Amino acid sequence: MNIEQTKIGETRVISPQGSLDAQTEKEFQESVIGNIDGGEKSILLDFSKVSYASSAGLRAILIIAKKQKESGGKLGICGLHDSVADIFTVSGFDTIVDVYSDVSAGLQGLG
Amino acid sequence: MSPNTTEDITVELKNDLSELQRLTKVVTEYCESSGLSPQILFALNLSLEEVVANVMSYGYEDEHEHLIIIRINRKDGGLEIEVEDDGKAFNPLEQEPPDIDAPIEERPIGGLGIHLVRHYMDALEYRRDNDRNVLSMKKSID
Repeated sequence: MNIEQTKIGETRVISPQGSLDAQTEKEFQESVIGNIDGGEKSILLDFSKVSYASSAGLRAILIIAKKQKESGGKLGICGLHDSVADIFTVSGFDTIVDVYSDVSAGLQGLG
Repeated sequence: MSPNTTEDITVELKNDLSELQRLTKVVTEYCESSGLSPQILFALNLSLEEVVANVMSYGYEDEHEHLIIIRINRKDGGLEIEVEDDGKAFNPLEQEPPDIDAPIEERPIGGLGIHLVRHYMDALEYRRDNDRNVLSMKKSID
């Protein structure tokens, strides 16, 4: 999976592209965990180019969220497609990760 | 063929996660040629990935190649989907529902797949048949 990264102010913005599923979860997870291990205290997951996610994607997000909480950092997610927003709600993930409409709202919320 | 009749499909997958891509492709083509909505397509792709990935990841104790058989039939105004495998006996419907209100520290890693399948499908049934697991799922398409 293609994963783009930029730093805007103090926030690391990570933008995976395509499907976040049983095949791509590991790559995505490792990429974000690498940033947490590298000391990034503010991370925004930009999901505007993630057209599909399954429970494998949720598992990766939960692992990331737990790790970032332990490290005392902040984590947000933005740009969820309808189907991804739906599995977030069905799984109660909207209460454990801060969800924003887009990157600028996310940067403001985390900042 | 009238718009309301569709050829039933059967897909056989090897027990390798890379096969999921082919499954998604076949299911997407089936839904598009049958005029099914993007919501039905999503429900079908998600539920099949959850069930099949689970079988591939946990169903086999040997390193041999196995086939997982997926059948999709249009029936009584809905879809009937069956996943059949020769893995160890496992009834996913016996799994306890997750606590989706628990704080992050208490959330277990995993266990959400069958929860999502229950949400997106209308009926689920498991049977053990001739040393094979068969999970059937129904989805109404009104």
